[in-house]
Amino acid sequence: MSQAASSPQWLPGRGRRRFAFDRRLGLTLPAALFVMASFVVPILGIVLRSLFDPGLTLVHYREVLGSSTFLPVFLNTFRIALIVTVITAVLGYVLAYAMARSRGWMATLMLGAVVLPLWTSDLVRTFAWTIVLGRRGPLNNALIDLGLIDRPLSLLFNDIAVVIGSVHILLPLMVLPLYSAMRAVDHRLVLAALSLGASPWAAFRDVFFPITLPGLVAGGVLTYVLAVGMFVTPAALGGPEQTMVAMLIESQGRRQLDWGTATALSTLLLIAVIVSLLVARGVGRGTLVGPGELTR
Amino acid sequence: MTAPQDFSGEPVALLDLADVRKSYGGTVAVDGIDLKLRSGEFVTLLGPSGCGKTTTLMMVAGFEAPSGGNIRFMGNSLLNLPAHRRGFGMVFQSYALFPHMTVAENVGYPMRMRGIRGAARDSAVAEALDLVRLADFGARYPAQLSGGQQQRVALARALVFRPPLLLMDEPLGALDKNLRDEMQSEIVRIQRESGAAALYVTHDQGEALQMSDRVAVMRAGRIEQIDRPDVLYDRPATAFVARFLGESNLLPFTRIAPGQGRLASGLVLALPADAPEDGVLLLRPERVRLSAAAPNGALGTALSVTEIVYRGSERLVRLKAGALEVTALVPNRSNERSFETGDQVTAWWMPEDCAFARP
Repeated sequence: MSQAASSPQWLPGRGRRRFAFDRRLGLTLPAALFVMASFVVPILGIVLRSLFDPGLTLVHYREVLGSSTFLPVFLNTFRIALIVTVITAVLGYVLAYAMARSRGWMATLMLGAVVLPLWTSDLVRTFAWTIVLGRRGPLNNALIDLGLIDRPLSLLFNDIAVVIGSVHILLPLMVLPLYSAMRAVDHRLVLAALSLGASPWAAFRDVFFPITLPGLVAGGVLTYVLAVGMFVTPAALGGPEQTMVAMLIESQGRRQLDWGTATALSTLLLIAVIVSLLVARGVGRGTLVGPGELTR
Repeated sequence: MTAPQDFSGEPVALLDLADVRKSYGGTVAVDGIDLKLRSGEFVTLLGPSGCGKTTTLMMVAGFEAPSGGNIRFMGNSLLNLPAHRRGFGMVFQSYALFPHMTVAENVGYPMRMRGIRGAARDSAVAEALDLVRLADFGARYPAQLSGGQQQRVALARALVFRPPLLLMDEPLGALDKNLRDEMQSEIVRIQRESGAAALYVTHDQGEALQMSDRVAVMRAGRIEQIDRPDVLYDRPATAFVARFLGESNLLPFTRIAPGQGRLASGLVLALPADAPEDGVLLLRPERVRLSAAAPNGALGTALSVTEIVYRGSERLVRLKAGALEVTALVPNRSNERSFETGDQVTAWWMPEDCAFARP
């Protein structure tokens, strides 16, 4: 430090340092402006719109919170998102594990099968499920032909349909972070646990799972946030009981042109997502990721 | 405790590999290995990469199943025993410490798996950390330790449950040279104090010679020779073993008369009386001495100095006569006259300095 302070002026770097700050700022500026323009400004716009009509008012919030549809729809949204996240996590973990353990063409095939649906539109995939799950769809026909049921099951326009459709659409987003976390695990850690007397299950529980947990959390957050905002899938596969917040926002904004209520709903949804993620983080810190807990 | 004995009254080896084989598809990795390890013994599998030494270790650990042969531990076959029920300590080159556990939790893990808890576990962990001189590091995480410290933790973790056998797969491979020298003696000290037998895998001949009671030199899936380090160095069975363990002059010859052999170069050289019909004459460079004339009873030949390499404690002198090339290692002592390049000297050695190896 003292050397730098006393370094003579003819050495390079001393004069330039004055401009270093400006130059760095200049380099980040375009990206910062882009992020501001495309993410921060619209969100601010939504929040401001919900608060001004045209003067500062809480009338939209009072209206939303006072209505009888608001609470059931919100609870329903988070209930379905939670169910979807848990099912996606369980399926995704098993699938990612199978992918991480396979080699060669099998690994390529599985990765392709997971990524390919991402290139297909949600709409197409959702409507495909209306056919598969229909009263005379292939699933009901197969169950009847197998003699497992007498009459077709109602698989559409209920929780089951929405959950199946959402899990299918969100599964790749769970699998990819998990797969990358699992591929990064040094397999010798598992061998070491076995050599120290851990059964294969104990080695998984004590070593492999805790090390891949960050991947599960990343995939879980991604799945959960997207599940909360689902629109097409619950609209096409669910009934009136499965109305989710995004559908409510759409009907307020686009059909009733009540932008105040729509933006208030959006703001409340944003706040609810942030709060639920903070709660999840707090719970996770206390029970799952505390290293001391693992050797209890 | 008396060692178990087989029907002939021979003590049963702690670990007994009998004609162990391993092939992957059409590739043969281990091609019939026989090896017996005694209790408390330090045996090293030494060889170039791809010789099957790590595969052999992995089969003993239970991570690979042999394609043929048998592995017995105290007389009982291990073939149907999964890795986690074998109870051997294992140390990996990459240390394989659990990154999400503290040092104490890592070392305590095998005890936890054995249902030992509370004060008994704590004292075992403290004792193991004491053994590797890391008593104050229990609360740290592996990422907060240096490579050498991590390797000590791995040793403590592999020894805390007092295994009868310690398996080590190139444990010093990731360390720099100074630390490696220090850890060599440390590992031997720790192994002696723990009383565990050790099966050690390395490609470093210096490590093998310094640490082991016996060394098995491996080549292409087989054991080329297994013996004490000094026997391997002084009396290698094959030219491969001689070359793998240090510098050597290897001179293929055919005996033409008692006490006389013709080298490949055509030069006729005096041989000791016990020389075989043909083979390879091995002379270690430090056994080759240089002077104006050979003393009585010595064997030797006149050569000219072509190159002198100064190495501090000694000089490497390359000599030549026709197609015959010999290297001598001369200690730098004050009272010995030095040679210059181009000097004619007699290179000589005593009959007992000669060893004979198969090509």
